[in-house]
Amino acid sequence: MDPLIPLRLPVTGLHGPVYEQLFALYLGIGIVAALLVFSLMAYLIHRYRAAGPSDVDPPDAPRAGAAPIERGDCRVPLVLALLVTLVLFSVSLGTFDTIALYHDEPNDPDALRIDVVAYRYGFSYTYPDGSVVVDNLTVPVDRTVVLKITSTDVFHNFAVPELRLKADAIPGHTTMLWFKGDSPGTHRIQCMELCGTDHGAMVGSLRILSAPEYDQWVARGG
Amino acid sequence: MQRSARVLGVSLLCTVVLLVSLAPLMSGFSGGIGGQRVANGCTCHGEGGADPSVSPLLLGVPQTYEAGMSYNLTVQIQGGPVPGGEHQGGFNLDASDGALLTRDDTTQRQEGQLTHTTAGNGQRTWQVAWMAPKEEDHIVTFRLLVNSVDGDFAPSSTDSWNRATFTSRGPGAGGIPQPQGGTHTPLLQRWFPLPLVVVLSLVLAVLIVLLLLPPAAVRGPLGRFLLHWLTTTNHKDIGVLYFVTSLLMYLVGGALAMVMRGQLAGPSGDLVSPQLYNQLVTMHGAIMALFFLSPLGFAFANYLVPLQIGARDLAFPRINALSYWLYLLGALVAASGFFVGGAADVGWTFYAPLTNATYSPGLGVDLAGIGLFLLFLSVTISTINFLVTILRLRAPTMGLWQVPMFTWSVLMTVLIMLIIFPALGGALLLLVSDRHFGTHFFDSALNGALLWDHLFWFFGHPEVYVLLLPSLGTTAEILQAFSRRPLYGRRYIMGAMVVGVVLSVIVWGHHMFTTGIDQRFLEVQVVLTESISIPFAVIVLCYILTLHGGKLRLRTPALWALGSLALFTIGGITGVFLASQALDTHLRGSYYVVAHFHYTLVGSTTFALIGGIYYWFPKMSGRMLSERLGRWHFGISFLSFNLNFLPLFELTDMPRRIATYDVARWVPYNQVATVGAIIFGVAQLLLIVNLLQSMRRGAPAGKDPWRGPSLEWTLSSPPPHDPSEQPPVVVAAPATQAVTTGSSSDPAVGTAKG
Repeated sequence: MDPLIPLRLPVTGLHGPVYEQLFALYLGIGIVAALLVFSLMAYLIHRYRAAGPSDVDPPDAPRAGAAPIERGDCRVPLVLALLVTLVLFSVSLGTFDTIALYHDEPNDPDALRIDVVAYRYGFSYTYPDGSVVVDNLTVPVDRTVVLKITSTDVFHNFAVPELRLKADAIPGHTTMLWFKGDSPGTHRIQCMELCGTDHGAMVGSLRILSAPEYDQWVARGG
Repeated sequence: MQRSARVLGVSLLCTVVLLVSLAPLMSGFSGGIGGQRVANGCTCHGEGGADPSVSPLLLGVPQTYEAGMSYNLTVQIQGGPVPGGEHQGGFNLDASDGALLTRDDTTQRQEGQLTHTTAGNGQRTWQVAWMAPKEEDHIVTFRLLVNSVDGDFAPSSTDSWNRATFTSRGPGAGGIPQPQGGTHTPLLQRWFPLPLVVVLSLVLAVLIVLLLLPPAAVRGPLGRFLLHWLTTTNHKDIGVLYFVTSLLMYLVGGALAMVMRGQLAGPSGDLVSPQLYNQLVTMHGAIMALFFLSPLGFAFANYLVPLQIGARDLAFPRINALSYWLYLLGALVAASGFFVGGAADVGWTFYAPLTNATYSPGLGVDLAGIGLFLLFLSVTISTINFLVTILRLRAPTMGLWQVPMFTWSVLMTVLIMLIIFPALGGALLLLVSDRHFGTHFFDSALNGALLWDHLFWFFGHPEVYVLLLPSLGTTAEILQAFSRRPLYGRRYIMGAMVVGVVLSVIVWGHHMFTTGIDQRFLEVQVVLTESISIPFAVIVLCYILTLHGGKLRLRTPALWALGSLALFTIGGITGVFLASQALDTHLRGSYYVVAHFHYTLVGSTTFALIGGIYYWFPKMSGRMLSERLGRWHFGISFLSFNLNFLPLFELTDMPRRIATYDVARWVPYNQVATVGAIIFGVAQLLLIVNLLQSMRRGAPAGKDPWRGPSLEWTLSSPPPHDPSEQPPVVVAAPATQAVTTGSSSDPAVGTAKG
């Protein structure tokens, strides 16, 4: 395999690192939880395995046709439930901050506002001055960009994985997505909702330019 | 009496089949029965033929388009009634390729076409835009319909209309015009294709001959065999029918998956076209979830629930038979799309408006929709049957809290089904109505795309619990039998299942985290979706604690059950990530999601049910399965399953449902996954070999080979076919004694508590 191919997905932009931090929190707790469950399982399997086919059954072993026997301390399941609840709600506290970051439209008068229209099979971008470009979105670095996304035909999805951004493009409905590029570069844009035969080819790119380059690009007429 | 009931049954079945085969015909009417789009392209004005004095003009169409470029076009009407009235005309424009876009509020998109709005009603020119296709070799046809009217608000002879077509060719287009998508095909071509009619008629003919003849007239082993299996209402027979059919579905769905993984082995796979790939994706999902997993659970439910509760049969044996035949018919109709020009290719989620008549003109969506509707009917009557059976037909002394865990899980399952399947049935009726009768339930202009989301996911999310619960019940039975201990915290597990059922029907919003609907609703959904992990975590942990103090025997069923618990742990934990709206914003629609739900639906559910096959097949057939083959089957499946799906968690940027890709990073992950998938697929043949081999020369199983916990193990293997040979008093007696004496005087109970 070519060593130059990155095995991890690069991360950039304003949301990317925040997302990765939250993901790492979930992953850490998830791995610990999974290891605990697996160790418990492995221990019990190892410890309570029958020595052989003739090993004697415990006294309360199930018998066909006998009424089920209630077993276990009622406090254990409740404590388990409480424990799981605590873990879940501690991670969800982090979630709500990040949700707010994604979903609260920034109140930035200097923001670049672009209308995105998804169609089969591409995206068109209408800039504030009325100019329209397709497929490749070009924005300046370090400036808030607010996208209003809709679709002219079917359900699409506008995703920029390297910036950890995604919003559905729904006909008859507008969704908002905002971001801020922190360094110049080019990132893949992809439709992530099945929209027809060429869904897989509904790909574009996000070009983040330095301020002077962006001004030049605008001056050239996009 | 019996005979007239049979005639009635046959006529009902014939009517259903006839109606099913007639349904696609309805799309033969242009625009459906409602006449949504009459010949002149507008429902509001103008009768009579086209008026040559009206000239529709489309200015700005390039003779040769540049791929991906945007063009400004002007629609213009010349001629017709003297201008001056308030409403002077309207238009309707569609392009066979590329995308038509509005430029101001005088125009709007409707069903893939561009037309004027109320604001643009009084004009004779409109400004629109057209985005050329990205391909260079297309020939694009524009079809423009215009009305030129006098503005008196009434159709009259002075109102007139006309139409015109315009073309634009790509620089690489040859001389042959491209076939146009989305146009109405003639009535005859829409007729339900011949092969299917022939097959259905043959099946019907055999049915009618067999069923209308007096049973004594049917002779010969084949005739007797057919008569038996076609007319049986015995719950054990129906269970076997479900079992065999669902295993066939497992092979079919698995074969589709093999093709898909083969296609994805390299970046630009050319095993199948993107169009066929979309059909494979759709049918793989529908077949595996709805026609394999659920019916396999219900194969066991049919066979075992009456035995486990000491009933002679299900409450309504005939309805049970009808339920099976509706399911089979549904599966065949849904899959028949492959043979009549393409199965549904819209994903098993059927998102509107991709499913409407404009974007999916083919038969595939109709057939899949009808197949699912038949399944909805089958499930609905089956639900009633199991509810009544479990609630009313238990052995006299068996309380509801004392039913075996598998029966309890089936009760929970049918409760969910009762709540959610009407949403699916209703949504499908609305969809058919939109496609064929010109209604607008899922019209994007009325936010119909989101309406479908809500309706579908109200069904679709709890459906995964419908699949999961019987497998949890199976695991519980297996763990008790092989750990040699009673279930830990049995009543708490039962209670946790109830909580799971309630929560499962109020968490569908987590499938809509990125739709931009009211954020307050979505944040409630975050909390609820996280909460649903709690009861299931308690269930899994109690299952594991059951092993404590036992004498675990690691026979094949136990291996599958424990494997299923381990994989469910991974599936569950990765699901918590998706419950976070923030993480879902990146993960949604990616291979992470694919990996997650395969861990729950294959790793957890399928593994547990296969464990159920190894556990209950000796009861059903009277013969043991090969332990050696079973262990190999488990070992290879467990390793190859993880090899297949573990790498996919890393592909958080690769979209689901794409046939080709061009990102180098995705290649190694996909290659590993494909290798895992192929090994997993081949390993499943071991199960088939094992089943066939056991039926021919398996060791006799005896009454109770595993020393299992519930009533079915008190019966011979296989149990007496005729319920009357299965005297309920004998069957219920041990339970009766144990129930009445077991609560405090049984010493085992005392030591186990606390």
